Amino acid sequence: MKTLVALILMAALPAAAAQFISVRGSDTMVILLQKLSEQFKKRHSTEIRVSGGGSGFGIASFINGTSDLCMASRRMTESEVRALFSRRAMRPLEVRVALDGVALYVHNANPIRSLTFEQIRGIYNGSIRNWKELGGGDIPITVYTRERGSGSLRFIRQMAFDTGIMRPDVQSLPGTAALVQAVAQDPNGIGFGGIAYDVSSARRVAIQQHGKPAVLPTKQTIEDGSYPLTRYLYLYAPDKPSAQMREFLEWIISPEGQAVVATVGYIPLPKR
Amino acid sequence: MIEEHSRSRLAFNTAMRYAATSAAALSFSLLALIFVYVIKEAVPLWNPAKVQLQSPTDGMSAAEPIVFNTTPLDSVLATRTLPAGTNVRGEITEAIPLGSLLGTEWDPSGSTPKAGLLPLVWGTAYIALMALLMAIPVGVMVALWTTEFAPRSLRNAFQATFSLLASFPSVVVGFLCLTTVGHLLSTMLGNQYHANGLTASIGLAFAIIPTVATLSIRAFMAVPQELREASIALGARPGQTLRWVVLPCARPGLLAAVLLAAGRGLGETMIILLASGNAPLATLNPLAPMRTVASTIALESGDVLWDSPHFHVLFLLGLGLFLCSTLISSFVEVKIRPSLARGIDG
Repeated sequence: MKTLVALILMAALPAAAAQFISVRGSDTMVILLQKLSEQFKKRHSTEIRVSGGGSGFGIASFINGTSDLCMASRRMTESEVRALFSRRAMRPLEVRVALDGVALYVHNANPIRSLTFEQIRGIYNGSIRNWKELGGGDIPITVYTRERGSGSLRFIRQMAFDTGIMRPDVQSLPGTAALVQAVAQDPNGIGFGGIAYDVSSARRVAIQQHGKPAVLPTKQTIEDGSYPLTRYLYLYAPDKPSAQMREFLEWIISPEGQAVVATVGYIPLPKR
Repeated sequence: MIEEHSRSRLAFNTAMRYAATSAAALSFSLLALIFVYVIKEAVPLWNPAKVQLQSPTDGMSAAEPIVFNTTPLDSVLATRTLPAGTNVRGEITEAIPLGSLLGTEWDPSGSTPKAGLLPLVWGTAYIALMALLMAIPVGVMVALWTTEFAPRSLRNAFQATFSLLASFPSVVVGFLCLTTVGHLLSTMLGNQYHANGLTASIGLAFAIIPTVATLSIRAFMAVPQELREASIALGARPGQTLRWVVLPCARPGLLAAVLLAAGRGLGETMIILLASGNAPLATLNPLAPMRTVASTIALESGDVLWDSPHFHVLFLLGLGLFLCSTLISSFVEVKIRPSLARGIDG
């Protein structure tokens, strides 16, 4: 009986307190959404609660119904959209929030300046195991990745590795900050993450495609889309959002919201 | 007056007894409920319910998101991504072939999911064993010194310090391991991986030394002083007394310390999550990255779809951990506690 009462209490508490919009997902986007909701609250009195966990986590909790909106640094896959429809009888409303690029990071001591998609695939599937094969020193390559819920991992797999499998000894780290930090300490290492991470002893590598000149990820090359690993950062909402949600989403893509995007160091959406 | 007082006291006692009994019953039934729930969620792995993905009835495709806003870059970026419908990974509803549970590949949400438990079990056992090999000698030695050689004033200070160390947040230990120990090891040994099994087990050893030490201190203190005095009266030197009287008497208590530390080691998550590299490899090399059962649950439970096969596999892992720690603590309770109570003849 007591168990029952306790269970009912636990179930009832969150429902009673649900006068806010909850947003979960991509760790890359947490700071961005926190700043956006802070500025939004000044004018609109709607409280928005933001928490991270990774794109996969955000999308899963959106499908499972435990968050109102989700942030993702990749698009939802077909099976995720189908799962959402089956569970909650709704389609996702896809909002482009900002532009970002996925950068490959190496240690400063590494002489490699640029890589092709084929080389990245080779590094991650284990067919290239020594920096010597890419024109570097004779040292083995240590490969770092994000955990499997990461949107950046999913994105870079789609773009550069196709359906190939990764070598089994890839080191997976929770969060881009930890990953870039690990690469900064490891002269053998290579890893990837959003472009916003600045660490003094790690460096971004340019990407080269089909005889075109190598392109470094910068504000310009991402804004005009010439950097090959340019991506959108997304918010997903129910197809019939509440008035408060719609107001928030409209505000994010308005000039006012996009100005906030720029002040946090992300790249605003190109103007129509 | 006095009678009334004692009557109200009696009522109070009865009320307290009922409160204590129901609290005990509540915690026991909660434990039982958790156990039943974990089993219930692990079982569908053997009997997967077909996850039906419905199709919409209004003619629109269910597989495409509804676009809220567009930008001029859309056309540029659209040519680069793979066409819609090609799932690179995340075929979330694919059943996991049971044969793969005994394999060596852990990839439960891939397009051909494999849930080989071997590398996870191996990583868990290997890291825990290495940590115990480091923690037991250190912990027991510290306890021996504290109880047998340290001045009485220092003894209490030591015990307090160890209780404090035992509550040190493991996320801090893990982060220190990742940033300093891993780096130090690779500069010294020239190994390729900064985050590896050895780094994780050093962090884990640091976390379980206080457990081993405090429990061993208790074991040594439980040895009756008269026995030591009798041994010395018979002409034994302090070293002989230690070897032939104190250690044998404290053995059941020491065994309990080791087993409880092992239980803590198997379940520890945060340190290993940060310091082990988390690659599911079943290898003998302590300097290779490894992945444990507990960190797999922590890493993957967040982005798993409820009721998917991957979800049930995580519950199977949890059930394994649950059974392991229950077995260890009930072994301590049933086999070792009685001999602890008897004291000498244990």
